Amino acid sequence: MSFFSPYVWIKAIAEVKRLTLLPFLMWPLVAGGSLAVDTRELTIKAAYLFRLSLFVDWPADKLTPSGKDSVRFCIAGDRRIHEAIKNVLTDKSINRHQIRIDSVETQSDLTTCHLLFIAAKSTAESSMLKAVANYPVLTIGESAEFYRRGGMILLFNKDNRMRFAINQRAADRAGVKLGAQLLNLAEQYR
Amino acid sequence: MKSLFKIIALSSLGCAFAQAAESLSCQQVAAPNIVKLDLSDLAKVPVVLSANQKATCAKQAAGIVTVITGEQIQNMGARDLIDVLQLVPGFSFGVDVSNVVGLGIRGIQAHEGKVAVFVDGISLNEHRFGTTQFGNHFPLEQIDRIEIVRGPGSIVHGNFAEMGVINIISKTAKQMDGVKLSGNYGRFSRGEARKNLEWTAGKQWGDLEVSFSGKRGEAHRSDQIYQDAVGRSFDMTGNNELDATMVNLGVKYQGLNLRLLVDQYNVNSRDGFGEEMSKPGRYLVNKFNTYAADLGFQHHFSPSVKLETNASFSHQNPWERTRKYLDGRAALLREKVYVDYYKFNAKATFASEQGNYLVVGNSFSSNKFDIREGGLGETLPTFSNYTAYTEARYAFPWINVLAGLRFDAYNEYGTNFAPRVALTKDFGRFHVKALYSHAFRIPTGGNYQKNAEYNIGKAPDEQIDQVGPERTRTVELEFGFQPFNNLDLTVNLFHIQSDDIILYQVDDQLDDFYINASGQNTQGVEWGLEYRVPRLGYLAMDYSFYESTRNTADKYKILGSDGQIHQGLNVGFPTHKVSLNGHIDLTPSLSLNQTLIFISDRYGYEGDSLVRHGSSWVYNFYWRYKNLFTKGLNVGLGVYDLFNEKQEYVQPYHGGHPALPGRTREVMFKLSYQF
Repeated sequence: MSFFSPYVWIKAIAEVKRLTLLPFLMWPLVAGGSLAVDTRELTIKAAYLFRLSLFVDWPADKLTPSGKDSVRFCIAGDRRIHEAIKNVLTDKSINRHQIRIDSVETQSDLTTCHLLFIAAKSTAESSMLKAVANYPVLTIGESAEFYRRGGMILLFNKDNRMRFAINQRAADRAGVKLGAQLLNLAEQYR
Repeated sequence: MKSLFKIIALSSLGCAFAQAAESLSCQQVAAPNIVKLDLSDLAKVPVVLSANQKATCAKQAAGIVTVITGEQIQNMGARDLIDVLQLVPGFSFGVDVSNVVGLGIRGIQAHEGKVAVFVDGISLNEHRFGTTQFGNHFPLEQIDRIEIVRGPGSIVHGNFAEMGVINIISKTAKQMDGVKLSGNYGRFSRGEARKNLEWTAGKQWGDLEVSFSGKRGEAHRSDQIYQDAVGRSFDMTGNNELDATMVNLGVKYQGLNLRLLVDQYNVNSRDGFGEEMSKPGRYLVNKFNTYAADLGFQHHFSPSVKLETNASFSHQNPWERTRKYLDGRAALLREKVYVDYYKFNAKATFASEQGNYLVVGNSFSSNKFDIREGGLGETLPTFSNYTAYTEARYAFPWINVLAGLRFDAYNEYGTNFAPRVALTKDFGRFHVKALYSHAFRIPTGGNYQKNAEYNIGKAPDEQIDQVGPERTRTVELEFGFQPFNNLDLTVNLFHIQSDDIILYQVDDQLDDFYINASGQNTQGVEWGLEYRVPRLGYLAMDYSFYESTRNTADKYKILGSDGQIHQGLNVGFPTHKVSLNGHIDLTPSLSLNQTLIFISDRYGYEGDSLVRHGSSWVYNFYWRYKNLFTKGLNVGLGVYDLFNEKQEYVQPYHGGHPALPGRTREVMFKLSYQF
């Protein structure tokens, strides 16, 4: 068999003592965080984006109540996050306004978004929040930093359940009206 | 109220078979339904599902259930269903005859009519002998999840579900969302291992959903040398092909479901039937073809009252044996039998918001046989069966009680009652189940044909009776504990008692027939650990142990020259099995999945000689990179059986067939593209 055959190399690797595999297999238990995303968790988040937006009143010039223009959900995160949310919310609409899911980056025009979801570990959280600070864009995020910097709604995990907290002042500042039921269901975040 | 009476009237007149209804709590945690929940309910949905919650969603909470998701299957780079089912506690594979590999469960050979296999509700057991064949057979790309019951399922699924149920559920059209092509190519060190093309296509137009998926491929069982019991051998490299084609079309419109399925699986064999391989210069092709359709309709009269009706049909020609010659002589058809299977059923479910329910139903099914070649002139009766069924679940404050009863009336085998009682309770981080079930295996037309043929030309006192039903009683206990949100521990104990077991026999003249042997019992323990780190990966560890506590069939005993040498063990099955599957997402695109499967030693036969097969460790790893260069392009590279342990498929009964050499180290490359 040729020296260059992959089998020669695989055989050589196979000489390694089998027990060395155990730490290899146990990797998920000890390794640090990565950027991978859990599909189920994303489904829950997508459902939240949809349900939260049902209790939001955007200014009439942003979304005509009687009109049929679409509602733009902007997703700042990697492709998998965007795709998973898009998959869950396909064909969904808010009061006859079809939801459109767009993936956005720092240089995108964020001011035309109705809802901006900034996924955890998104690199440009701060600049994105600044870009929409004076516009009626509902901002939803996942990190304490996002909440501290003026994000409107924070999604957070508590007891293996997804909860949300509301920064009422940030919403008022941007002219986004949040429904009373939303305020009742929100939790405190510390 | 009128509609309630209408349902009761319909279900008592109709033709239905019932199965446990999905509880509302399950619906709330099932991913497709999450988007339908309002904000207050969303806050109650667990982000990470425990093993018990997954099992609850498998419609079989009153059972010991394993759920394997399509995502897990893709993560591990599974080559076929054998790779997937090796992870299930108590499951092991062995050769039957002629390169056909089947499944054993908890120390009992389940291959011949004791494990029910469904694809989208369509039965893929062949109805002649009840077998299902494994090895590059089933497509994997379209799978949403596989719901596996590791225990009796007769009460829900009827015949063939005595020891277990494997229900393969395809993705919906919406989940497929477009067209995906996937190909894999694998090589052993001495030859080609497999080459397969799979496809999925799905589209939703309002209420209309259409999905179309399938597979076309070929694989080789092994690249080793097979030696029969008399010392003759042949090189399996490039021989013993497994040729698979499967096409699956689903159309759904509101409450109406249509499923069409074509399964053509050809198994080439030179290893033969018993201790001797095929004669030189020729080989055998066994065809297993299924053409099936299922039309279902469900109507919700109210949120709590549902009626489901189904009509199923399949046309099969299983074990169609053709002898082929290497010198170009015309092929010789040895055996061809058609089986047409019809089933009509309807069930009514009355469910409360608390998850309590009552199911009533009845069904009618029949198997019609047409012997075209290989019979001895006799015709077979049409085997028909009427079933009535009821099951109810009620949640008391301190325990959930499920009780069911199934009544079958067979035209050839009399009547049969099968009760089931289940006590379950979920205390949040702790759950417990206690289950008692009756199950059965009714003889098939193939069993009947063998015995009828055996009696031809024999004197009355030499003739044998037709074989009768086999019956099983199973007790199972399960304890589950979730110390942390992302860590699940489950332990279950089982005791199986089978009586009048249907047993394959071969006499001195090599004529084969079936008998009812007194019985066999096994008992054991299975435990599982599942640890998930959200956004990083997971680790699943499973262990299973069984022992034989009664065995009246010599075919299953381990018999040396001095008699039975291992009372707690059955032929072909390992006492201990450990499986580990670890997955880690290194980046959003790159993942590594590793599998390690340990099985303890097994005993088999070569002719009449007992052979011990040592323990083995099979280690696989699979690298996958998603969205390479362009969105939708995924590549995977796997190495399987890195240590080249060459785990054999040991025949799980004394049929003289030496262990079939298994897969050696394989390197497989996989490419898929979602348009």
